[in-house]
Amino acid sequence: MADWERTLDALVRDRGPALVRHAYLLTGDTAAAEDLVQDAIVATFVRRAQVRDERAAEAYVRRAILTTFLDGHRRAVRFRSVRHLLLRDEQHDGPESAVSDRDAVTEALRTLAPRVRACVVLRFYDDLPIADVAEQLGLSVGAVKRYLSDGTRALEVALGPLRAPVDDDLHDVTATRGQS
Amino acid sequence: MRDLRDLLSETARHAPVDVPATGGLVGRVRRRRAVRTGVRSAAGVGAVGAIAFAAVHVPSLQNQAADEAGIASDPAAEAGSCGGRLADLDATASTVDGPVRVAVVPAATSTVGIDSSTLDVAVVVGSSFEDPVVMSFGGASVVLTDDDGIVVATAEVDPGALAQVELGSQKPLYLWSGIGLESCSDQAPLDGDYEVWAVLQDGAGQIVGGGTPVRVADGQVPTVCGRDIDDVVTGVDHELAIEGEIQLGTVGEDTEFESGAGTDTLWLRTEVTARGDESDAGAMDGVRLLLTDESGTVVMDSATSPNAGRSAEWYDLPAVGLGGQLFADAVGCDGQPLPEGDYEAWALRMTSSWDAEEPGGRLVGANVGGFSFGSGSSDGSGSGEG
Repeated sequence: MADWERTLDALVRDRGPALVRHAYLLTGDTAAAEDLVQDAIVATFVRRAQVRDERAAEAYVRRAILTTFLDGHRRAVRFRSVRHLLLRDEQHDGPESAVSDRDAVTEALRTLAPRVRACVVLRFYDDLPIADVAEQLGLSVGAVKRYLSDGTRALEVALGPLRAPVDDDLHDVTATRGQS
Repeated sequence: MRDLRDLLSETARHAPVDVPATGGLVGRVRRRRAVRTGVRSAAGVGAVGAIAFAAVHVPSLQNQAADEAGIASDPAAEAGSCGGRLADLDATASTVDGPVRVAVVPAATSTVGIDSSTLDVAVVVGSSFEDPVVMSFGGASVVLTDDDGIVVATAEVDPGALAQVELGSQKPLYLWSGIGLESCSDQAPLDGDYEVWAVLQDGAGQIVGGGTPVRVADGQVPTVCGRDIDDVVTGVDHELAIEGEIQLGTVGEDTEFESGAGTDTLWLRTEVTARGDESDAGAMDGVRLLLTDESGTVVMDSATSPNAGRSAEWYDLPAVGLGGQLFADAVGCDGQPLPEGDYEAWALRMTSSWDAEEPGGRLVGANVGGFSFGSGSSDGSGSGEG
Protein backbone atom coordinates (compact mmCIF):
# COMPACT_ATOMS: atom_id res chain seq x y z
CA MET A 1 0.00 0.00 0.00
CA ALA A 2 1.42 3.35 -1.02
CA ASP A 3 1.94 6.09 1.56
CA TRP A 4 -0.83 8.18 0.12
CA GLU A 5 -3.20 5.23 0.38
CA ARG A 6 -2.37 4.82 4.05
CA THR A 7 -2.97 8.52 4.62
CA LEU A 8 -6.26 8.37 2.77
CA ASP A 9 -7.36 5.35 4.73
CA ALA A 10 -6.51 6.98 8.07
CA LEU A 11 -8.19 10.22 7.08
CA VAL A 12 -11.41 8.50 6.10
CA ARG A 13 -11.44 6.30 9.16
CA ASP A 14 -10.63 9.00 11.70
CA ARG A 15 -12.14 12.12 10.19
CA GLY A 16 -14.63 10.90 7.61
CA PRO A 17 -17.78 11.37 9.71
CA ALA A 18 -16.71 14.84 10.85
CA LEU A 19 -16.05 15.88 7.26
CA VAL A 20 -19.43 14.64 6.14
CA ARG A 21 -21.17 16.47 9.00
CA HIS A 22 -19.39 19.67 7.97
CA ALA A 23 -20.45 19.10 4.37
CA TYR A 24 -24.00 18.36 5.50
CA LEU A 25 -24.32 21.85 6.92
CA LEU A 26 -23.18 23.25 3.60
CA THR A 27 -25.41 21.14 1.39
CA GLY A 28 -28.38 20.38 3.62
CA ASP A 29 -28.58 16.94 2.08
CA THR A 30 -26.95 13.71 3.22
CA ALA A 31 -26.28 12.26 -0.22
CA ALA A 32 -24.94 15.55 -1.51
CA ALA A 33 -22.70 15.86 1.54
CA GLU A 34 -21.30 12.37 1.00
CA ASP A 35 -20.65 13.09 -2.68
CA LEU A 36 -19.02 16.40 -1.79
CA VAL A 37 -16.64 14.79 0.67
CA GLN A 38 -15.80 11.95 -1.70
CA ASP A 39 -15.12 14.39 -4.54
CA ALA A 40 -12.97 16.54 -2.25
CA ILE A 41 -10.93 13.57 -1.05
CA VAL A 42 -10.40 12.36 -4.60
CA ALA A 43 -9.48 15.83 -5.82
CA THR A 44 -6.99 16.25 -2.97
CA PHE A 45 -5.20 12.98 -3.51
CA VAL A 46 -5.22 13.23 -7.30
CA ARG A 47 -3.68 16.68 -7.14
CA ARG A 48 -1.07 15.89 -4.55
CA ALA A 49 1.32 13.07 -5.21
CA GLN A 50 2.62 13.25 -1.67
CA VAL A 51 0.38 14.21 1.20
CA ARG A 52 2.43 14.62 4.35
CA ASP A 53 0.11 13.29 6.96
CA GLU A 54 -3.48 12.94 8.01
CA ARG A 55 -3.66 16.41 9.48
CA ALA A 56 -2.33 18.02 6.32
CA ALA A 57 -4.66 15.86 4.25
CA GLU A 58 -7.68 17.00 6.26
CA ALA A 59 -6.71 20.66 5.77
CA TYR A 60 -6.48 20.13 2.01
CA VAL A 61 -9.74 18.17 1.93
CA ARG A 62 -11.60 20.84 3.93
CA ARG A 63 -10.46 23.46 1.44
CA ALA A 64 -11.46 21.21 -1.42
CA ILE A 65 -14.89 20.71 0.17
CA LEU A 66 -15.36 24.46 0.26
CA THR A 67 -14.18 25.13 -3.25
CA THR A 68 -16.06 22.16 -4.67
CA PHE A 69 -19.24 23.24 -2.89
CA LEU A 70 -18.92 26.82 -4.10
CA ASP A 71 -17.96 25.64 -7.56
CA GLY A 72 -20.58 22.88 -7.81
CA HIS A 73 -21.66 23.70 -11.30
CA ARG A 74 -18.28 22.75 -12.71
CA ARG A 75 -18.54 19.14 -11.64
CA ALA A 76 -19.62 17.59 -14.92
CA VAL A 77 -18.84 13.91 -14.42
CA ARG A 78 -19.84 11.84 -11.43
CA PHE A 79 -18.19 8.54 -10.81
CA ARG A 80 -21.08 6.39 -9.75
CA SER A 81 -19.02 3.23 -9.68
CA VAL A 82 -18.03 4.08 -6.14
CA ARG A 83 -20.00 2.31 -3.45
CA HIS A 84 -22.14 4.83 -1.71
CA LEU A 85 -21.77 5.55 1.94
CA LEU A 86 -23.73 3.38 4.28
CA LEU A 87 -26.61 5.30 5.68
CA ARG A 88 -28.30 4.94 8.97
CA ASP A 89 -31.98 5.58 9.16
CA GLU A 90 -33.02 9.06 10.17
CA GLN A 91 -32.42 9.40 13.87
CA HIS A 92 -35.18 10.55 16.14
CA ASP A 93 -33.52 10.10 19.48
CA GLY A 94 -34.68 13.37 20.91
CA PRO A 95 -37.90 15.17 21.48
CA GLU A 96 -39.96 16.07 18.42
CA SER A 97 -39.14 19.72 18.98
CA ALA A 98 -35.42 18.99 18.73
CA VAL A 99 -35.94 17.18 15.42
CA SER A 100 -37.99 20.01 14.00
CA ASP A 101 -35.33 22.46 15.21
CA ARG A 102 -32.68 20.59 13.25
CA ASP A 103 -34.90 20.46 10.19
CA ALA A 104 -35.57 24.15 10.56
CA VAL A 105 -31.85 24.89 10.79
CA THR A 106 -31.14 22.79 7.72
CA GLU A 107 -33.89 24.48 5.76
CA ALA A 108 -32.83 27.93 6.94
CA LEU A 109 -29.24 27.30 5.87
CA ARG A 110 -30.48 26.31 2.43
CA THR A 111 -32.00 29.75 1.97
CA LEU A 112 -28.56 31.35 2.21
CA ALA A 113 -26.44 31.97 -0.87
CA PRO A 114 -23.55 29.48 -1.07
CA ARG A 115 -20.88 31.92 -0.06
CA VAL A 116 -22.95 33.30 2.82
CA ARG A 117 -23.69 29.76 3.95
CA ALA A 118 -20.00 28.90 3.81
CA CYS A 119 -19.15 31.94 5.95
CA VAL A 120 -21.76 30.99 8.54
CA VAL A 121 -20.60 27.36 8.74
CA LEU A 122 -16.91 28.24 8.97
CA ARG A 123 -17.53 30.91 11.61
CA PHE A 124 -20.18 29.37 13.80
CA TYR A 125 -19.64 25.64 13.32
CA ASP A 126 -15.92 25.38 12.67
CA ASP A 127 -15.28 28.30 15.04
CA LEU A 128 -12.75 29.92 12.74
CA PRO A 129 -11.71 33.52 13.41
CA ILE A 130 -13.02 35.93 10.84
CA ALA A 131 -9.56 36.43 9.37
CA ASP A 132 -9.27 32.68 8.79
CA VAL A 133 -12.70 32.55 7.19
CA ALA A 134 -11.59 35.33 4.86
CA GLU A 135 -8.44 33.44 3.94
CA GLN A 136 -10.30 30.18 3.30
CA LEU A 137 -12.76 31.86 0.97
CA GLY A 138 -10.48 34.38 -0.68
CA LEU A 139 -12.41 37.32 0.68
CA SER A 140 -11.57 40.45 2.57
CA VAL A 141 -12.37 40.53 6.28
CA GLY A 142 -14.89 43.26 5.60
CA ALA A 143 -16.69 41.10 3.06
CA VAL A 144 -16.83 38.20 5.52
CA LYS A 145 -18.32 40.41 8.20
CA ARG A 146 -20.90 41.62 5.75
CA TYR A 147 -21.81 38.08 4.71
CA LEU A 148 -22.05 36.96 8.33
CA SER A 149 -24.28 39.88 9.17
CA ASP A 150 -26.54 39.15 6.20
CA GLY A 151 -26.56 35.44 6.96
CA THR A 152 -27.38 35.84 10.62
CA ARG A 153 -30.24 38.19 9.87
CA ALA A 154 -31.62 35.78 7.27
CA LEU A 155 -31.40 32.86 9.69
CA GLU A 156 -33.21 34.87 12.33
CA VAL A 157 -36.16 35.28 9.99
CA ALA A 158 -36.60 31.49 10.06
CA LEU A 159 -35.27 30.62 13.50
CA GLY A 160 -36.05 33.61 15.65
CA PRO A 161 -33.56 35.73 17.58
CA LEU A 162 -30.10 34.21 17.65
CA ARG A 163 -27.05 34.75 19.71
CA ALA A 164 -24.13 35.00 17.28
CA PRO A 165 -21.30 35.14 19.77
CA VAL A 166 -17.79 36.44 20.03
CA ASP A 167 -17.74 39.16 17.43
CA ASP A 168 -19.45 41.99 19.24
CA ASP A 169 -19.55 44.33 16.28
CA LEU A 170 -21.09 41.77 13.95
CA HIS A 171 -24.45 43.50 13.75
CA ASP A 172 -22.98 46.98 13.51
CA VAL A 173 -21.10 46.37 10.29
CA THR A 174 -21.83 48.76 7.45
CA ALA A 175 -20.86 48.02 3.88
CA THR A 176 -17.53 49.78 4.03
CA ARG A 177 -15.87 49.13 0.73
CA GLY A 178 -12.26 48.43 0.04
CA GLN A 179 -11.34 47.79 3.62
CA SER A 180 -10.22 44.49 5.06
CA MET B 1 -32.39 33.69 22.51
CA ARG B 2 -30.83 30.58 21.02
CA ASP B 3 -27.16 30.21 20.27
CA LEU B 4 -26.38 29.75 16.59
CA ARG B 5 -23.31 27.68 17.38
CA ASP B 6 -25.33 25.25 19.45
CA LEU B 7 -27.97 24.96 16.75
CA LEU B 8 -25.41 24.18 14.07
CA SER B 9 -23.54 21.70 16.25
CA GLU B 10 -26.73 19.90 17.16
CA THR B 11 -27.84 19.75 13.54
CA ALA B 12 -24.52 18.38 12.36
CA ARG B 13 -24.26 15.90 15.22
CA HIS B 14 -27.52 14.26 14.27
CA ALA B 15 -26.89 14.20 10.52
CA PRO B 16 -27.26 10.61 9.31
CA VAL B 17 -23.73 9.79 8.20
CA ASP B 18 -21.39 6.84 8.27
CA VAL B 19 -17.77 6.10 7.51
CA PRO B 20 -17.02 6.51 3.78
CA ALA B 21 -15.82 3.51 1.81
CA THR B 22 -12.07 3.75 1.35
CA GLY B 23 -11.55 1.16 -1.36
CA GLY B 24 -13.71 2.97 -3.85
CA LEU B 25 -11.97 6.25 -3.17
CA VAL B 26 -8.53 4.76 -3.72
CA GLY B 27 -9.70 3.33 -7.04
CA ARG B 28 -11.06 6.67 -8.15
CA VAL B 29 -7.83 8.44 -7.26
CA ARG B 30 -5.78 5.92 -9.23
CA ARG B 31 -8.01 6.17 -12.29
CA ARG B 32 -8.13 9.96 -12.22
CA ARG B 33 -4.37 10.20 -11.91
CA ALA B 34 -3.90 7.96 -14.92
CA VAL B 35 -6.54 9.60 -17.13
CA ARG B 36 -5.63 13.20 -16.32
CA THR B 37 -1.90 12.64 -16.65
CA GLY B 38 -2.60 11.50 -20.16
CA VAL B 39 0.93 10.93 -21.41
CA ARG B 40 3.88 8.78 -20.59
CA SER B 41 6.08 10.45 -18.03
CA ALA B 42 9.81 10.07 -18.06
CA ALA B 43 9.31 7.40 -15.39
CA GLY B 44 9.05 4.74 -18.06
CA VAL B 45 7.05 1.64 -18.90
CA GLY B 46 5.35 1.27 -15.54
CA ALA B 47 3.48 4.53 -16.01
CA VAL B 48 2.46 3.57 -19.53
CA GLY B 49 1.11 0.28 -18.23
CA ALA B 50 -0.97 2.05 -15.60
CA ILE B 51 -2.48 4.40 -18.18
CA ALA B 52 -3.31 1.53 -20.53
CA PHE B 53 -5.00 -0.30 -17.66
CA ALA B 54 -7.19 2.69 -16.91
CA ALA B 55 -8.07 3.14 -20.58
CA VAL B 56 -9.21 -0.46 -20.96
CA HIS B 57 -11.22 -0.64 -17.78
CA VAL B 58 -13.10 2.63 -18.03
CA PRO B 59 -14.53 2.54 -21.55
CA SER B 60 -17.88 4.16 -20.69
CA LEU B 61 -16.17 7.23 -19.32
CA GLN B 62 -13.92 7.53 -22.37
CA ASN B 63 -16.83 8.07 -24.71
CA GLN B 64 -19.29 9.91 -22.55
CA ALA B 65 -18.06 13.50 -22.68
CA ALA B 66 -16.79 13.17 -26.24
CA ASP B 67 -20.24 12.14 -27.47
CA GLU B 68 -21.84 15.09 -25.70
CA ALA B 69 -19.60 17.43 -27.71
CA GLY B 70 -20.41 15.66 -30.96
CA ILE B 71 -16.88 14.27 -31.13
CA ALA B 72 -16.81 10.50 -31.27
CA SER B 73 -13.89 8.77 -29.70
CA ASP B 74 -12.24 7.07 -32.66
CA PRO B 75 -9.93 4.15 -31.88
CA ALA B 76 -8.48 4.51 -35.37
CA ALA B 77 -7.71 8.20 -34.92
CA GLU B 78 -4.10 9.25 -34.78
CA ALA B 79 -2.92 9.87 -31.26
CA GLY B 80 -3.27 13.50 -30.30
CA SER B 81 -5.52 14.31 -33.27
CA CYS B 82 -9.29 14.76 -33.49
CA GLY B 83 -11.08 11.87 -31.83
CA GLY B 84 -7.84 10.38 -30.58
CA ARG B 85 -6.56 10.29 -27.06
CA LEU B 86 -3.81 12.61 -25.98
CA ALA B 87 -2.65 9.79 -23.69
CA ASP B 88 -1.70 7.71 -26.72
CA LEU B 89 0.74 10.29 -28.00
CA ASP B 90 4.37 9.27 -27.94
CA ALA B 91 5.46 12.21 -25.86
CA THR B 92 7.15 13.13 -22.63
CA ALA B 93 5.28 15.09 -20.01
CA SER B 94 6.77 18.45 -19.20
CA THR B 95 8.20 18.67 -15.70
CA VAL B 96 9.22 21.48 -13.39
CA ASP B 97 12.91 20.57 -13.63
CA GLY B 98 13.16 19.14 -17.12
CA PRO B 99 15.53 20.60 -19.72
CA VAL B 100 12.61 21.90 -21.80
CA ARG B 101 9.39 22.88 -20.05
CA VAL B 102 6.05 23.68 -21.59
CA ALA B 103 2.95 25.33 -20.23
CA VAL B 104 -0.07 26.89 -21.89
CA VAL B 105 -2.43 29.54 -20.66
CA PRO B 106 -5.51 31.04 -22.26
CA ALA B 107 -4.76 34.63 -23.19
CA ALA B 108 -7.59 35.89 -21.03
CA THR B 109 -7.28 39.48 -22.10
CA SER B 110 -8.07 38.72 -25.69
CA THR B 111 -10.27 35.63 -25.73
CA VAL B 112 -13.46 37.61 -26.11
CA GLY B 113 -12.34 40.92 -27.50
CA ILE B 114 -10.96 39.62 -30.76
CA ASP B 115 -13.10 36.64 -31.70
CA SER B 116 -15.02 34.73 -29.11
CA SER B 117 -15.27 31.63 -31.29
CA THR B 118 -11.50 31.26 -31.10
CA LEU B 119 -9.63 30.45 -27.95
CA ASP B 120 -6.41 32.43 -27.87
CA VAL B 121 -3.63 30.77 -25.97
CA ALA B 122 -0.04 31.46 -25.08
CA VAL B 123 2.34 28.52 -25.25
CA VAL B 124 5.20 29.27 -22.91
CA VAL B 125 8.41 27.30 -23.27
CA GLY B 126 11.13 27.59 -20.68
CA SER B 127 14.15 25.95 -19.22
CA SER B 128 16.47 26.17 -16.25
CA PHE B 129 17.86 29.54 -15.28
CA GLU B 130 21.07 27.93 -14.17
CA ASP B 131 21.45 25.67 -17.21
CA PRO B 132 19.70 27.24 -20.18
CA VAL B 133 19.38 25.04 -23.24
CA VAL B 134 19.36 25.60 -26.96
CA MET B 135 16.30 23.87 -28.36
CA SER B 136 15.89 22.72 -31.93
CA PHE B 137 12.40 23.88 -32.58
CA GLY B 138 10.46 21.47 -34.77
CA GLY B 139 6.96 22.83 -34.39
CA ALA B 140 4.13 23.00 -31.94
CA SER B 141 0.41 22.53 -31.75
CA VAL B 142 -2.29 23.14 -29.21
CA VAL B 143 -5.12 20.75 -28.52
CA LEU B 144 -8.30 20.88 -26.51
CA THR B 145 -9.33 17.70 -24.70
CA ASP B 146 -12.44 16.71 -22.86
CA ASP B 147 -12.54 15.18 -19.43
CA ASP B 148 -11.55 11.79 -20.79
CA GLY B 149 -8.56 12.96 -22.72
CA ILE B 150 -10.21 12.87 -26.15
CA VAL B 151 -9.02 15.60 -28.52
CA VAL B 152 -11.93 17.82 -29.55
CA ALA B 153 -10.07 20.73 -31.16
CA THR B 154 -6.58 21.34 -32.49
CA ALA B 155 -4.53 24.13 -34.01
CA GLU B 156 -0.97 24.54 -35.16
CA VAL B 157 1.27 27.11 -33.56
CA ASP B 158 3.05 29.31 -36.03
CA PRO B 159 6.69 29.47 -34.91
CA GLY B 160 7.62 32.14 -37.38
CA ALA B 161 11.22 31.81 -38.42
CA LEU B 162 12.30 29.84 -35.39
CA ALA B 163 14.63 26.93 -35.91
CA GLN B 164 16.73 27.06 -32.82
CA VAL B 165 15.99 28.99 -29.70
CA GLU B 166 17.90 29.48 -26.50
CA LEU B 167 15.68 28.91 -23.52
CA GLY B 168 16.13 29.99 -19.96
CA SER B 169 13.73 30.20 -17.09
CA GLN B 170 13.99 33.95 -17.09
CA LYS B 171 13.61 34.30 -20.83
CA PRO B 172 11.02 31.77 -21.89
CA LEU B 173 9.67 31.58 -25.39
CA TYR B 174 6.12 32.86 -25.87
CA LEU B 175 4.12 31.50 -28.78
CA TRP B 176 0.59 32.59 -29.55
CA SER B 177 -2.09 30.58 -31.23
CA GLY B 178 -5.84 30.44 -31.62
CA ILE B 179 -7.97 27.29 -31.53
CA GLY B 180 -11.24 27.35 -33.41
CA LEU B 181 -13.85 26.01 -31.07
CA GLU B 182 -15.38 23.66 -33.59
CA SER B 183 -12.37 22.49 -35.51
CA CYS B 184 -12.92 18.78 -34.92
CA SER B 185 -16.62 18.62 -35.49
CA ASP B 186 -19.06 19.78 -38.13
CA GLN B 187 -21.94 18.96 -35.81
CA ALA B 188 -22.60 20.56 -32.46
CA PRO B 189 -20.21 23.27 -31.30
CA LEU B 190 -18.13 22.60 -28.24
CA ASP B 191 -19.85 23.21 -24.95
CA GLY B 192 -18.48 22.40 -21.53
CA ASP B 193 -15.28 22.22 -19.57
CA TYR B 194 -12.08 21.24 -21.34
CA GLU B 195 -8.33 21.33 -20.97
CA VAL B 196 -5.89 22.99 -23.32
CA TRP B 197 -2.52 21.37 -23.94
CA ALA B 198 0.54 22.25 -25.98
CA VAL B 199 2.52 19.63 -27.87
CA LEU B 200 6.03 20.81 -28.63
CA GLN B 201 8.48 19.13 -30.94
CA ASP B 202 12.11 19.55 -30.31
CA GLY B 203 15.02 17.58 -31.66
CA ALA B 204 14.66 14.89 -29.01
CA GLY B 205 10.97 14.19 -29.41
CA GLN B 206 7.63 15.53 -28.31
CA ILE B 207 6.87 17.27 -25.04
CA VAL B 208 3.37 17.83 -23.72
CA GLY B 209 2.48 20.50 -21.21
CA GLY B 210 -0.46 22.48 -19.93
CA GLY B 211 -3.74 20.84 -19.06
CA THR B 212 -5.16 24.27 -18.23
CA PRO B 213 -8.92 24.28 -17.77
CA VAL B 214 -11.06 26.33 -20.10
CA ARG B 215 -14.78 26.73 -20.36
CA VAL B 216 -16.59 26.89 -23.66
CA ALA B 217 -20.27 27.78 -24.04
CA ASP B 218 -21.95 26.79 -27.28
CA GLY B 219 -18.81 27.22 -29.33
CA GLN B 220 -17.84 30.55 -27.80
CA VAL B 221 -15.45 31.67 -25.12
CA PRO B 222 -17.96 33.05 -22.65
CA THR B 223 -17.67 36.40 -21.04
CA VAL B 224 -18.53 36.53 -17.38
CA CYS B 225 -20.62 39.66 -17.80
CA GLY B 226 -23.94 39.41 -16.04
CA ARG B 227 -22.90 36.52 -13.85
CA ASP B 228 -22.82 36.50 -10.09
CA ILE B 229 -19.31 36.95 -8.81
CA ASP B 230 -19.79 33.99 -6.50
CA ASP B 231 -20.03 31.73 -9.56
CA VAL B 232 -16.99 33.26 -11.19
CA VAL B 233 -14.49 33.25 -8.36
CA THR B 234 -15.33 29.89 -6.88
CA GLY B 235 -12.62 27.31 -7.35
CA VAL B 236 -9.83 29.78 -6.59
CA ASP B 237 -6.70 28.19 -5.23
CA HIS B 238 -6.18 29.57 -1.77
CA GLU B 239 -2.64 28.33 -1.54
CA LEU B 240 -1.70 31.26 -3.72
CA ALA B 241 -2.29 34.66 -2.22
CA ILE B 242 -3.15 37.61 -4.38
CA GLU B 243 -3.14 41.21 -3.32
CA GLY B 244 -3.83 44.19 -5.39
CA GLU B 245 -4.74 47.79 -5.74
CA ILE B 246 -7.31 49.47 -7.96
CA GLN B 247 -7.19 53.11 -8.94
CA LEU B 248 -9.32 55.32 -11.13
CA GLY B 249 -7.77 58.05 -13.20
CA THR B 250 -6.66 58.90 -16.68
CA VAL B 251 -3.68 58.50 -18.94
CA GLY B 252 -2.19 61.93 -19.58
CA GLU B 253 -0.54 63.29 -22.66
CA ASP B 254 2.76 61.99 -21.41
CA THR B 255 1.19 58.51 -21.40
CA GLU B 256 1.58 58.34 -17.65
CA PHE B 257 -1.36 57.24 -15.53
CA GLU B 258 -2.62 59.96 -13.23
CA SER B 259 -4.71 58.68 -10.38
CA GLY B 260 -7.73 60.78 -9.58
CA ALA B 261 -7.19 63.10 -12.52
CA GLY B 262 -10.01 61.57 -14.50
CA THR B 263 -12.45 58.70 -14.58
CA ASP B 264 -11.87 57.01 -17.88
CA THR B 265 -9.14 54.55 -16.97
CA LEU B 266 -8.84 51.87 -14.36
CA TRP B 267 -5.41 50.79 -13.19
CA LEU B 268 -5.03 47.48 -11.42
CA ARG B 269 -1.85 46.24 -9.84
CA THR B 270 -1.60 42.73 -8.48
CA GLU B 271 0.98 40.54 -6.88
CA VAL B 272 0.71 36.81 -6.38
CA THR B 273 2.72 35.05 -3.75
CA ALA B 274 2.73 31.60 -2.27
CA ARG B 275 1.26 30.84 1.12
CA GLY B 276 3.30 28.72 3.47
CA ASP B 277 5.75 26.41 1.77
CA GLU B 278 3.84 26.17 -1.46
CA SER B 279 6.13 25.96 -4.48
CA ASP B 280 5.46 25.74 -8.18
CA ALA B 281 6.78 27.10 -11.45
CA GLY B 282 5.23 27.65 -14.83
CA ALA B 283 3.26 30.26 -16.75
CA MET B 284 0.41 32.55 -15.94
CA ASP B 285 -1.99 34.53 -18.08
CA GLY B 286 -2.33 38.27 -17.89
CA VAL B 287 -4.23 40.11 -15.21
CA ARG B 288 -7.98 40.14 -15.70
CA LEU B 289 -10.13 42.75 -13.99
CA LEU B 290 -13.79 42.34 -13.13
CA LEU B 291 -16.05 44.92 -11.55
CA THR B 292 -19.23 44.05 -9.73
CA ASP B 293 -22.10 46.29 -8.75
CA GLU B 294 -23.83 46.34 -5.41
CA SER B 295 -25.73 43.15 -6.18
CA GLY B 296 -22.54 41.23 -6.87
CA THR B 297 -23.19 41.05 -10.61
CA VAL B 298 -20.25 41.38 -12.98
CA VAL B 299 -20.71 44.62 -14.89
CA MET B 300 -17.22 45.01 -16.33
CA ASP B 301 -14.79 42.41 -17.67
CA SER B 302 -11.46 43.62 -19.00
CA ALA B 303 -11.32 40.60 -21.32
CA THR B 304 -14.14 42.05 -23.42
CA SER B 305 -12.31 45.24 -24.23
CA PRO B 306 -11.29 45.56 -27.89
CA ASN B 307 -8.21 47.35 -26.63
CA ALA B 308 -7.16 44.50 -24.38
CA GLY B 309 -3.76 43.12 -25.19
CA ARG B 310 -2.40 39.64 -24.91
CA SER B 311 -0.01 38.90 -22.14
CA ALA B 312 1.49 35.99 -20.29
CA GLU B 313 4.43 35.56 -18.00
CA TRP B 314 6.38 32.95 -16.12
CA TYR B 315 6.66 32.41 -12.41
CA ASP B 316 8.73 30.39 -9.96
CA LEU B 317 7.18 30.41 -6.53
CA PRO B 318 8.06 31.11 -3.83
CA ALA B 319 11.22 32.75 -5.16
CA VAL B 320 9.72 34.74 -7.99
CA GLY B 321 6.25 36.13 -7.47
CA LEU B 322 3.83 37.21 -10.09
CA GLY B 323 3.44 40.93 -10.33
CA GLY B 324 1.19 42.36 -12.96
CA GLN B 325 -0.70 45.44 -13.87
CA LEU B 326 -3.52 46.28 -16.17
CA PHE B 327 -4.91 49.46 -17.63
CA ALA B 328 -8.52 49.15 -18.68
CA ASP B 329 -11.13 51.52 -19.97
CA ALA B 330 -13.72 52.42 -17.36
CA VAL B 331 -16.37 50.95 -19.60
CA GLY B 332 -18.98 48.42 -18.66
CA CYS B 333 -19.99 45.20 -20.32
CA ASP B 334 -22.43 47.14 -22.48
CA GLY B 335 -19.64 49.20 -23.97
CA GLN B 336 -20.83 52.35 -22.23
CA PRO B 337 -18.97 54.38 -19.59
CA LEU B 338 -19.58 53.05 -16.11
CA PRO B 339 -22.64 54.61 -14.48
CA GLU B 340 -22.45 56.26 -11.07
CA GLY B 341 -22.35 53.84 -8.23
CA ASP B 342 -20.27 51.72 -5.94
CA TYR B 343 -18.14 48.97 -7.41
CA GLU B 344 -15.98 46.16 -6.16
CA ALA B 345 -12.89 45.15 -8.10
CA TRP B 346 -11.76 41.56 -8.55
CA ALA B 347 -8.48 40.34 -9.99
CA LEU B 348 -8.21 36.95 -11.66
CA ARG B 349 -5.27 35.05 -13.05
CA MET B 350 -4.86 31.46 -14.24
CA THR B 351 -1.64 29.49 -13.83
CA SER B 352 -0.27 26.56 -15.77
CA SER B 353 2.49 24.60 -14.12
CA TRP B 354 5.50 23.30 -16.06
CA ASP B 355 4.48 19.99 -14.46
CA ALA B 356 2.06 18.37 -16.90
CA GLU B 357 1.12 15.80 -14.30
CA GLU B 358 -0.20 18.52 -12.03
CA PRO B 359 -3.83 18.32 -13.03
CA GLY B 360 -5.36 21.47 -14.36
CA GLY B 361 -4.45 25.06 -13.89
CA ARG B 362 -4.89 27.07 -10.75
CA LEU B 363 -7.26 29.98 -10.62
CA VAL B 364 -6.02 32.81 -8.47
CA GLY B 365 -8.51 35.50 -7.65
CA ALA B 366 -9.68 37.85 -4.99
CA ASN B 367 -11.47 41.04 -4.19
CA VAL B 368 -8.88 43.79 -4.37
CA GLY B 369 -11.00 46.64 -3.11
CA GLY B 370 -13.73 48.94 -4.26
CA PHE B 371 -14.49 52.47 -5.21
CA SER B 372 -17.32 54.87 -5.70
CA PHE B 373 -17.76 56.17 -9.21
CA GLY B 374 -19.64 59.28 -9.99
CA SER B 375 -19.75 63.04 -9.66
CA GLY B 376 -18.86 64.73 -6.39
CA SER B 377 -18.18 61.84 -4.13
CA SER B 378 -15.69 59.92 -6.24
CA ASP B 379 -13.32 57.85 -4.20
CA GLY B 380 -11.15 56.39 -6.87
CA SER B 381 -8.92 54.02 -5.03
CA GLY B 382 -9.00 50.88 -3.01
CA SER B 383 -6.86 47.94 -2.16
CA GLY B 384 -7.36 44.52 -0.77
CA GLU B 385 -6.03 41.06 -0.66
CA GLY B 386 -7.21 37.57 -0.66
